[in-house]
Amino acid sequence: MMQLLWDIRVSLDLFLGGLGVGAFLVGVILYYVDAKVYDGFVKKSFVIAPLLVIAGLLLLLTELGRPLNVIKTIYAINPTSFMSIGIFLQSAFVAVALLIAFKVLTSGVESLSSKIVYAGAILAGLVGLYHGFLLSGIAKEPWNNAIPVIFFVSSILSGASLMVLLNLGSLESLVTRFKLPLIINMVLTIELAAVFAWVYNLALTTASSKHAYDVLISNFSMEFWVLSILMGLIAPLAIFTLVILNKLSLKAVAIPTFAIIVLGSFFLKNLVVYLGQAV
Amino acid sequence: MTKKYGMVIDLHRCVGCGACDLACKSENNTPVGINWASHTTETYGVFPKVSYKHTPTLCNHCEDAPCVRVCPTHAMHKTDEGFVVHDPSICIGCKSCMLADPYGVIFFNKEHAFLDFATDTSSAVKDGTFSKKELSDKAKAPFPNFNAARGADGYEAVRRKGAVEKCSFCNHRVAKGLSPACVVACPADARIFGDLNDEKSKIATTLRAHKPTVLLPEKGTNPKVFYIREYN
Ligand code: SF4
Ligand code: SF4
Repeated sequence: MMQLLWDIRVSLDLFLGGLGVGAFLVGVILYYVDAKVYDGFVKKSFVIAPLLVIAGLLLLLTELGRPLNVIKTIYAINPTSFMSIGIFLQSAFVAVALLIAFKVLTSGVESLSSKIVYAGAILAGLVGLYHGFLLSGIAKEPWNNAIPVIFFVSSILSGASLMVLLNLGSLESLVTRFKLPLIINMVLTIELAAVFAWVYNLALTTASSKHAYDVLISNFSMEFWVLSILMGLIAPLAIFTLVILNKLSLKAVAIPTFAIIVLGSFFLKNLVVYLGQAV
Repeated sequence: MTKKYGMVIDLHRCVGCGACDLACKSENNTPVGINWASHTTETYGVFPKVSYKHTPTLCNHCEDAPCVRVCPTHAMHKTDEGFVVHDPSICIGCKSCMLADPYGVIFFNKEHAFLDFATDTSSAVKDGTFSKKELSDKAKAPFPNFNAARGADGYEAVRRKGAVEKCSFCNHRVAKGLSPACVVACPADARIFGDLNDEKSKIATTLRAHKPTVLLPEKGTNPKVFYIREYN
């Protein structure tokens, strides 16, 4: 039987943290492209991002046996521990993101200095990468080096999708200016390639990785093939391809398609967290 | 040269009696389900050619310990003498060490262990026998203790809810020139404990005289618990 040491709260932390990081980075891109035109979008991104990351961290705290001791990680840093580095990075990101959110809410997007947005973007990127490194640093068979890329791209996809869902009014302008379906399809393809590399590595390399692959296929096939791959990646890829070919209108399919990308990101991360503990 | 402690377990001498498991339980007062010293058993072959293998297990005090590498607070740390030990006062209970340890020898204290020894005032024979609480108070053991004697020597000796724990190679005993409790209890002298850096020590000469094996060598942890010979 699987000894479950990290339960759904860890998956939710990685998922919500990823959503926050993705939302923040999309906000940063639009801020630099045209802060005036995308004022509302940028504002929502910068406000929602720290809240999502904080929500994830609070869930994670409930998973710890001695949460009050977290304060001690500030002076007892272990440079070989990704969790130690991650606690630092996340605290720094939350501090900067909250400052940005406060400025945006009190004085508007135009009051932001581009330097602080830049600092926030770097921290968001590092936190996004940390989510995967937290697992790959523990070095369980399924938590291999493909995971940081898979998690990071998944975070960008889900965060961007969430923000589009919250800004459906800007959809047309985003499509005209950025060819949104094309960009999303490119990112979905990168994610599929990273997931393929991960599965390939598990299925065809060492005896223990093959065992992990067997567990994935026999115990998690629904979560993996149906919810993560088919629903979260292939279905949106197919729908956006039809949109690009003008066979579908983006407006008609936007809500369900972006929603399944967000859900797929959760299922994929949750599956990886559980699979690592099942082998 | 600094000392580097290790242990050899001679599987040919080991009779599988479990005295080591019990001595550890007694020395470290481990609750039900937490076994710093334990063993695995394997039966293989086809009747009438059936073989049995009893392998005592404990923390390997790995040279390249993954539990130490991933611990975010240094609660799990390595001493200069090669002990991998745990400091519950700074442990955040994240269980990363348990996930990283390939040997499954770290345990999590989900609940307060021995809470009944701090709260239970009922006695089996009224005014005739001690209650659990009286017993614990009279023994002057810190609650929830795992080793009052260890605590008296300045080592962390309180079992905390939410923290992990594991074999310490009885470093509190070793500091006094004693061997770990499991080594002393073994009736077959199957366990040899000592300084690996001392070429003349019994452990070093034994290791040179045999072809030692370690558990899961492919994990690259460089264990300091070695196994020699076989029962069969
Ligand atoms: S056996 Fe496990 S707990 Fe002991 S040092 Fe090695 S990795 Fe750490
Ligand atoms: S549970 Fe405690 S000892 Fe283990 S990695 Fe976390 S903080 Fe370190």
